Amino acid sequence: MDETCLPDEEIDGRFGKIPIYYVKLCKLGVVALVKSTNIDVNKIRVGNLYEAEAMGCLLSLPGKTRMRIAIADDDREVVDFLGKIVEEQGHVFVGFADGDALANALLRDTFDLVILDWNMPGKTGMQILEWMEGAVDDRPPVMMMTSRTAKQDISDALNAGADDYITKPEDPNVIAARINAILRRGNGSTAMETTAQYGDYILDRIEQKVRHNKTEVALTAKEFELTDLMFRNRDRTLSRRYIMETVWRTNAHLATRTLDMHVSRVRSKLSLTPENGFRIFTVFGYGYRLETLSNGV
Amino acid sequence: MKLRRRLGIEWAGVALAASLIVTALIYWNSLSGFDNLLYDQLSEYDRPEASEEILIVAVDEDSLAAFGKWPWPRDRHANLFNILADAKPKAIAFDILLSEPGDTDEDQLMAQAARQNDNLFLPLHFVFPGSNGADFDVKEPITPLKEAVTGIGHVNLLFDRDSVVRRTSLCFGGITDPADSAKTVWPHLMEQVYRSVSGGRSSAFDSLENCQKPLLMPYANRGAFSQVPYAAVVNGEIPAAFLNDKIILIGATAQGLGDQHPAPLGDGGTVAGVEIMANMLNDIMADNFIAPVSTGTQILLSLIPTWILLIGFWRWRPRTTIFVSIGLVAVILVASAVLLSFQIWFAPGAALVGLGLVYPVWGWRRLQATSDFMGGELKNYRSETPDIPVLQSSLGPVDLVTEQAEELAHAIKHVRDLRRFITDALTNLPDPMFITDLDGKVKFVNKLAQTGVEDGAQDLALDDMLDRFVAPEDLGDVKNYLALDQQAREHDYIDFTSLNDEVFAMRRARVLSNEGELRGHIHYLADITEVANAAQEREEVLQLLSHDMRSPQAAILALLDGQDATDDNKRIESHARRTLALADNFVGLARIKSSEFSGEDILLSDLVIEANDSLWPLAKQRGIKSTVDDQTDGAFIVGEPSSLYRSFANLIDNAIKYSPDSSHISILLRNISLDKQPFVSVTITDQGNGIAEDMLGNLFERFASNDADSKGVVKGTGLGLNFVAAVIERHGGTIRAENVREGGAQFTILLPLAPEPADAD
Repeated sequence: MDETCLPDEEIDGRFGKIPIYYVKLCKLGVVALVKSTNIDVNKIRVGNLYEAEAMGCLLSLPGKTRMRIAIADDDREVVDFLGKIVEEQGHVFVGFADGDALANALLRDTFDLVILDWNMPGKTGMQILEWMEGAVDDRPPVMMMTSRTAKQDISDALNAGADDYITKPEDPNVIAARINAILRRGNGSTAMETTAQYGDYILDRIEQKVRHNKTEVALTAKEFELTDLMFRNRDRTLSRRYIMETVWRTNAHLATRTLDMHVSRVRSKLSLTPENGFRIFTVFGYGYRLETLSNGV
Repeated sequence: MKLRRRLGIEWAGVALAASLIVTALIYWNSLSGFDNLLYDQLSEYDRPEASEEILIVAVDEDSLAAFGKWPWPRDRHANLFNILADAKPKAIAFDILLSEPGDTDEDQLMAQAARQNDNLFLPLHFVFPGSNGADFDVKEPITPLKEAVTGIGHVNLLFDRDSVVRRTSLCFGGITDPADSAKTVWPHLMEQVYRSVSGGRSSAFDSLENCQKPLLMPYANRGAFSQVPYAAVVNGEIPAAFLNDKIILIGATAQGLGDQHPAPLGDGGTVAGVEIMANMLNDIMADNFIAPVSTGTQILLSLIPTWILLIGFWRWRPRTTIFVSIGLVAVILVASAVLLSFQIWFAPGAALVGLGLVYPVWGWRRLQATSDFMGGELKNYRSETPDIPVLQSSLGPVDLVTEQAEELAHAIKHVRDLRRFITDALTNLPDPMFITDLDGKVKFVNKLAQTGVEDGAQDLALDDMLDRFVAPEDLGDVKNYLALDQQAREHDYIDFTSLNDEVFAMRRARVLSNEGELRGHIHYLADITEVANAAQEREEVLQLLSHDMRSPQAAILALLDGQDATDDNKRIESHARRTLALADNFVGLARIKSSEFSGEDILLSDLVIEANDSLWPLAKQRGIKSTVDDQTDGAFIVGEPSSLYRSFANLIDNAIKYSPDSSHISILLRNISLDKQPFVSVTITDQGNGIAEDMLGNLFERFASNDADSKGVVKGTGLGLNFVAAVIERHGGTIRAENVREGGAQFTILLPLAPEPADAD
């Protein structure tokens, strides 16, 4: 999808009417609204859209868009398997069997998402990831796909700039949810409504209350904010740092047990169990992910 | 140390003894014989000129021949006085005692003649000891004469121990007190003569502190004074002009008259008393007297060379001290001679004796002490090293010190051999090593370390050597390791890569002295390049295995996904999943055995819940309800999350696998206390058929049977439980399996609780 500039206008934002100095329609259908001219829009990548979002200057346009996804895996079966999932979601994909082919394509072609296998002939997934940081302008989001399950490998990949990861083998529904979570970033659903429903859970953002199966669950302010953040970013791996900075609004050292305990309480108070269609998954050494289990609902 | 102390004591003893001896010798004047001899010798070179004014009128052999035997009648003396009065000499001293009254007429005659002369002096003398307990009696001339003459003076001679007359006292009797002189002090006859001639006291007399202090009296050459026979004067053979203005001393020179005394003239002969008087007068007139230094000064000066030598013993070699001793002897003698030319007499005898004494005595004591010490040390050495060849082959009897010296030479040779042996052994060690001292200097490097470091690493600073040897990325770690104390270090060795890409493990040991003092460090380097490479390779194999074993299974599962859920497909899927689990367990197990434990804070309840959640689809398929009951309220443990997660997933997976459909699996977390240590216990209980009794004992062993028997009783899970057991053990926990009474298996895991963090909120 080509980049298009929209004429200056006002737009309904999370915090009311926002004057738009410069609007850029990016890939993925994301609109970056930049309040301050100090920020060079060209430098906003999907990878750091979180930052813009956290500043309250990023909104997205509604509407579903067809995405173009690169899938790189030396295993033909896996490429086909993933391609089928992607197509079911209404997107198109291009498969690559090795790292070098992918690298060449990334220089000439534009993709909305790259799904990278870790071990590949030619450049490995990690090498591609590192290479992309410097070589590809406006780098698309990257989903790492790996047979490796060691904690260190996963946190290394995420810390190296991957937007998320999937371990093989994984349930097709989970994979679809995770892909959508990455793509949803720019999608309209991040716009804040006063109430939002996720499965059986209804979040009242004004009262800061959660209703589950018509029962009201009492949460503290921080617990609610954590719940809200996780639901909004469901199926997406959030780093502990991101959660702390967003919910506690601090960079300062926060006892790591504090976050563990809050997540634990949210989990038990809201009964976030597979029976209820959700599970909280700890990515050791990195952060948390709230997973939706479609077959549970 | 021991020797030093002993030598110090010996030295102090020698110093004290020498000082005391020197002081005593001076105090008791024991060396006067030697000193006098030296004095005589030295004074030989500087004899005073005889004054022409002095004329001796001698009662010699010729006069005795002319006038007959002695004593002569006193009118003959009266006759002489008369003749002399006519000639008008400057002064006359009559050195013949006239203390006993003789013929009264003659005495009167003599007194009358005496009155003719202006300056006529008579002698008095003292008799020791005095009568009636007095120290001495004064024998004055008989009264008529005494009244007739100008004055009287004493003529007592001072004899040295060798009876030689070297000294004289210018006065006799107590302190010289000008105001009280007549009463208590008798000036010498010559002093009286001098006073009458010059009109005042002599300067030698003035500088006297007291009469007890004798002065040394230089002698003019024998026969230097003019002398005429008594008879010649009386007979008028001497012209009056010759006698005029002379100071005339009258005395006996004839051998037979007894007034002959030994004099320090170098010829051993005697000199007549009157000639001694002449010399004395001559010395008074020319102020030639020589003052001996006081006893105190004498002691001090005599001790100086001895102490120079004593102090020198500590600093100089024996050869130097002998030269210095000889030099000091020369200095003393020269100083003595030089002082003498300044009319001061320093007797060098005691100083020379001090020098002569201290050198051999110290030499003896030092040898004794050294010999004793050496003997003791050699004995120790012999007892410590029984293999030392003790001097058996000595050639005949030799003296003790020689024997000791030879034995010492043997010991040194032995030590040298030993050092050679150690050096060779160290140098040829297969692994590199080096030794550093406390200043961080490299003291020894064996060959291999040198090849890595280049030659000449000895005495190099440790940091410089490391710079040349250790790869830059490891340099900081190595230096940190070496900077730390033995106790402060986390590991007792450190791995590093050298500049040549070899991998070494370095250990450091302390080098202590016999007394336990820290002297330096030995650094052992073990070449673990191959081990490190092997570890690296194993890690690569594990990575590969982990990926390559999993990938095809993942592909199979991916393929099956699109297929209908036939029984065959379900079986294929089940087998693929089992292979996956096997691969995971295998890799996990291998990792555990090859890596160090590195735990982090884990909320155990959530980890168990998530492991349980991950198996929910499996449980749901069979209608099994698996619930976690957390009664811990936030139990944190220190653990490795991945392996723990896998372990609980394995256990729950097993429970599901061997549970009947629609049954219940309960997972209970509780805080418990064991030996006062806090633990968290996790109990997983299923409602299956339990574990076969014969399997309970070795359930957690590797490769226990993986098959369930026909009744579906658990007989083991291959690597699964083995992995779980290894993980729990690694976390300092325990795992136990049993069958519950109601049927079904129960696994109980105990894990130690993490300590409370200091900053807990």
